[in-house]
Amino acid sequence: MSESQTASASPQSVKFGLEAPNFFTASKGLASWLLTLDHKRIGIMYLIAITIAFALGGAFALMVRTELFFAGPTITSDPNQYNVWFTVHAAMMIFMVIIPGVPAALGNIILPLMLGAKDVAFPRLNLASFYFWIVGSLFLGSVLFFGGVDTGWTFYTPYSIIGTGSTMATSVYLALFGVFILGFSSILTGVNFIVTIHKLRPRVMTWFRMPLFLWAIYSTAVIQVLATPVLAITVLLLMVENFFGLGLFDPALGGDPVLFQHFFWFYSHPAVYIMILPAMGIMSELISIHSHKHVFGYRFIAYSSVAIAMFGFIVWGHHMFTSGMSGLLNAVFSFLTFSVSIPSAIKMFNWLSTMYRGSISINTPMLWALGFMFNFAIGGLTGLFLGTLSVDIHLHDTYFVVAHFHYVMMGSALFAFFGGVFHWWPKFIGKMYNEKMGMVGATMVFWGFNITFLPQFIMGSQGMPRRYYDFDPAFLIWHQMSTLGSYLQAAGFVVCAYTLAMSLVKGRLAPANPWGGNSLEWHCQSPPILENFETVPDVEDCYDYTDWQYDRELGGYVLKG
Amino acid sequence: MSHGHGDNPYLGHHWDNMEQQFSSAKLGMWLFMAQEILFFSGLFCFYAVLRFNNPEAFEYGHQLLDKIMGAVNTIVLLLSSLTMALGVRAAQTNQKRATCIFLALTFLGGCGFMVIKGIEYNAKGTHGSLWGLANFKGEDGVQKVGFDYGKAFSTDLAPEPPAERAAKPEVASDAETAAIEPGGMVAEALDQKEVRSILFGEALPPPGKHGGHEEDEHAGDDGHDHGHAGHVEQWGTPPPTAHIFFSVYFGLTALHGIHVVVGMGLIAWVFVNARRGKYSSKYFTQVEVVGLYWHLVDLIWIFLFPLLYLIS
Amino acid sequence: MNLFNLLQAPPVDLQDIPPGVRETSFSWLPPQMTTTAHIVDSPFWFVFWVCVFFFVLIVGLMMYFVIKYRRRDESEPPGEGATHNTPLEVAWTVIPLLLAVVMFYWGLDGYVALATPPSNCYEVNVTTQKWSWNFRYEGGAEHDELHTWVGQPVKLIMRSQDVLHCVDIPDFRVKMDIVPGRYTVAWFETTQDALGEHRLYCAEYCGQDHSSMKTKVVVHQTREEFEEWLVEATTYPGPADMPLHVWGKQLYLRKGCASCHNNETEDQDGKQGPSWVETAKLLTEGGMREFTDDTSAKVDENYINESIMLPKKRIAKGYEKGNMPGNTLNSIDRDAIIAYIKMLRP
Repeated sequence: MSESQTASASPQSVKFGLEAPNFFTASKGLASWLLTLDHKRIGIMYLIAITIAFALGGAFALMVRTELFFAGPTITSDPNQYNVWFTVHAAMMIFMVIIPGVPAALGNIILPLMLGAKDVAFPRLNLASFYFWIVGSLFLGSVLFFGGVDTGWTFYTPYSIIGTGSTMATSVYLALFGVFILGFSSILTGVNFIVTIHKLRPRVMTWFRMPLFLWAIYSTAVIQVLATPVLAITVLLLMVENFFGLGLFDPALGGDPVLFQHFFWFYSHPAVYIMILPAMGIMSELISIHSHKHVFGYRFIAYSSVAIAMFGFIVWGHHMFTSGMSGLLNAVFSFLTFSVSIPSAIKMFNWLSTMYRGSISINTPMLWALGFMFNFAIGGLTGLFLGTLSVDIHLHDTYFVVAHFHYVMMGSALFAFFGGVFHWWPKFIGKMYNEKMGMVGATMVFWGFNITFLPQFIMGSQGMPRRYYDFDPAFLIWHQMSTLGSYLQAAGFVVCAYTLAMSLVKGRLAPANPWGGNSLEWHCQSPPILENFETVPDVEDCYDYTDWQYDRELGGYVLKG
Repeated sequence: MSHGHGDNPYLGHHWDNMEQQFSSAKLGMWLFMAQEILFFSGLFCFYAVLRFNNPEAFEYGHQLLDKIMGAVNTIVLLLSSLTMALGVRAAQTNQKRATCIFLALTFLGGCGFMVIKGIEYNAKGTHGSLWGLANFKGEDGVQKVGFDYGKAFSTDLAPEPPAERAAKPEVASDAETAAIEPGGMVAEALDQKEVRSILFGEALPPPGKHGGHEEDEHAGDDGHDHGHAGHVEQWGTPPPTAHIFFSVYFGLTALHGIHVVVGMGLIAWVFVNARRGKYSSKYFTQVEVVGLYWHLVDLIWIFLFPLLYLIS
Repeated sequence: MNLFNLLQAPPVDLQDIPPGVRETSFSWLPPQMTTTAHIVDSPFWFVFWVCVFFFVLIVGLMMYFVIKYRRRDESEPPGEGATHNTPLEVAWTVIPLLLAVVMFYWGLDGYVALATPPSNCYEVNVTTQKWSWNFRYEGGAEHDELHTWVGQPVKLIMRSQDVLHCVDIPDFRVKMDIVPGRYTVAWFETTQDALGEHRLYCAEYCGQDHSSMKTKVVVHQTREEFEEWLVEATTYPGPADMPLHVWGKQLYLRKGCASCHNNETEDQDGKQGPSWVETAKLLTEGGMREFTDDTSAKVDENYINESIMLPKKRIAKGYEKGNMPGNTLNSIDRDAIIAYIKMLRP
């Protein structure tokens, strides 16, 4: 490994991040942010915007849980209100938070740094994607001013056909249009990242020397580019159907409502992998770096990312086992569904083996990562119940499903997202946060999360259907546990937010390499300069940590010698 | 390093050289086209499913499209693709004047396509062959088939021939409801079996009788009836789902049309740049990329034309 | 548990608690009440124990490693060990794959049985609309509860009048979407244990009263008992045999009017359509009703007739949310409804 080039970065700049020129100080003023082409600034703007959306979506989740604290009316006596809350919660969390969360926000900040590139391939397109996100989110968010949308985030026909089902015409149009625009944001980000990874890798970084996060982002981007257009055309046609009465989905006009489900899930199942794949990429980084051990089975992890991306396209039918689809199709989709579980299992075992004989630091990012392992074990394994055809007949559309996908999307994808934020925070902000506070926050969210969703597996098994405003009193105890858990989670997130906010004010300056990682982003200063690197070091194996040693005075790792 | 190639003002700061930048732009465009193809594939899947479910609608509907116009449009678009390719070639070889001329020709090709499309749309509009149940009137302008779920039980869905009617006292006794709808919309009580036949498209009354009945009801109401017999002879009677074909037709061609308009906008933009002399053998990425897009638009039409116009 | 008891809502009427979850002892799955329930439950428990095994393995190892290999000091050297081990990795690819194949096959095998109704089924036609169930028994009798008897295979032939619904009987492990525009089918055969009442939910989101769109399944001991109930509950004399308004009330209860129209007070009472009491008042006093298109009409027999037959022609102001389906009432039925509404005058 030739590390000599790194030495050319001045030692001062490595040591005292914020005092050296960096991308924060490169230019000033609001316009320099809003019109920036710098990937790091765009990423930070995404982070801020997504945090706002997350808070809003979370508030709706709390309202849903509070309403379910008692059977019958609790905080509203109008079931339509409740229907709006869970729809808005889901639509915001999925389209505005989780799908862009890791790829667009963290990916934007980290991907070029990991590649040793100065920026993503198309910086203008990148900024455009961000504004597409903003415009789409404004459309989706504006439904709140029109009474909200009550179709469920899936927009199933014919309930989403105005008149037959929902009566909230304006909101349905706004929401569909918002989703359409958000889809384009996602597609353009995907195009950008694929080209960036293809064309901007340094010469020494071959495909199989890329950090695993990049493999994950790459697979994700492929899904974004190939699946999202189908969602776009589907919601577009649903809008047109509503407006002109085309008769494609509306059985009253000779259309086929199940056709809509096929098209919807053709995107929305791969979308699950848009959410979880980059999270798995983060996990590979977190587990290896914080266990201070070379990642185990690099190629298997990389291949499994690609496998998940490919299988992800052909399993959508498992959302429709009870839709009246033919038995043969059900069998095929069930089989394919099981095949997609294998790559996930491979990853879990590889991460465990990475920890084996490691030197495991217990810090905030690692706590989130361990939380991911725990939750993803549950979320992934409970998927097996739902993939088994006969069992799914009983569990479909119950709280079991609700718990399952929350374990995957929140317990896994969001946990990894927060792990990633805490992991790379010192890098792109340049300040360390209070480790104890961070760990308290992570622990609170972990327990809160599990108290919220474990009881839902039990309720679901006993037959509690989902999207119910009212429920049989027999389920009361589980609903109450679940609601209390959600409050604990909310408190945990407040602690996390406080920790990060305080780091801006009080945090000590971050060293270039606080954790001892070896991928390229740890070779540049914290926070990076505008063009990231003065010279790009030749790193052959980004999971080989033997060249770094801890510097007590600096509070971070420096290269030996 | 970043400005080591300052000789070309169009080199972005994050690229090593023009070659890398150009190949990246092209890769990006190919990816974008991949998503466009997926976007239209979604539509083609809709087409396939709906055609499979309603073969008679497609069989009937495609006859009403003007094959000559479609064919002319195909040729216009193919020619414009040719001029686009020539334009790119001219840009690469530093021929500013030729570039501008070819781009202008391509733009005109796009205009021509849209004008012909507009004439076709207009013809469909005047004949009443539009999308959806509410708009589809059949070629004679009289809405005679189909049902609306909300009204499925009340409007004049599938009127029976008068003889059968008289035989059913329950229905006949409903004369009072006729008063509700002076426009001749007779509200009828339908028994379960009839409702099912409507909902599931089973055993609707023979369309021939059906049309005849309409003529009775509407005689003298409007002038549409005059051409009716002729149309039926020429194309047969519209099946109950005929509107679905036109929904698909308008959906596909309108989205394609939007792409043509966007493409024309892009061509106008590179045309302006070309006139300013922006492109040369050293930098012609924008022309190249717009060219790719235009070829894609062309390609999609090549699929659309036989799928919509030339069904056998 | 005491904490939660303190927090509970006012005491629950035990009658409201459906059987199957009424037992105080904890059970993971609802009781098995059909001959096919074990088809769902056996693979469930197989998958369950496989999951428990892997969960304990993964989390156990994770916790063990975290404790055993914890980093005591930042100056410790990085961990050492193999960076890959292909046979091991192939092993944990293949073993889960084999288990998955077993689960797939078991699930498929059961599914085929669940999806294939036997030929000797008693057929019940199910019609759903927002937000009510209608069961039509052989011979044409209708009721809003599903009744059957022990040991009889029953086939539900279902269709929806408006949006997607889904029949869900947890105790029977039955679930099937009900799709407008096509028939879907579900079946079950009850066992002796099933005697009594069971929950029946709508499991596919269908709007406002989705969570109240439930009814019960009643399993009788013998066919005779079932038929006795059927005669008593669903055979009613025709309109000719009773006063018109009485017939009208029957229709109000059976045709789903009750789910959207209040018949007790003048306010909507949370329902989507106008109260019939209010309508009755307008009808007898010759009041006017205003519509969303800013026209208005006198509430008379013709108006009510039109509202039944063409519910969407003119929407009364304030009831934009309402979405009344067309219906199959003949003229006598409409007379009866009008007579019933008149009776409701306050």
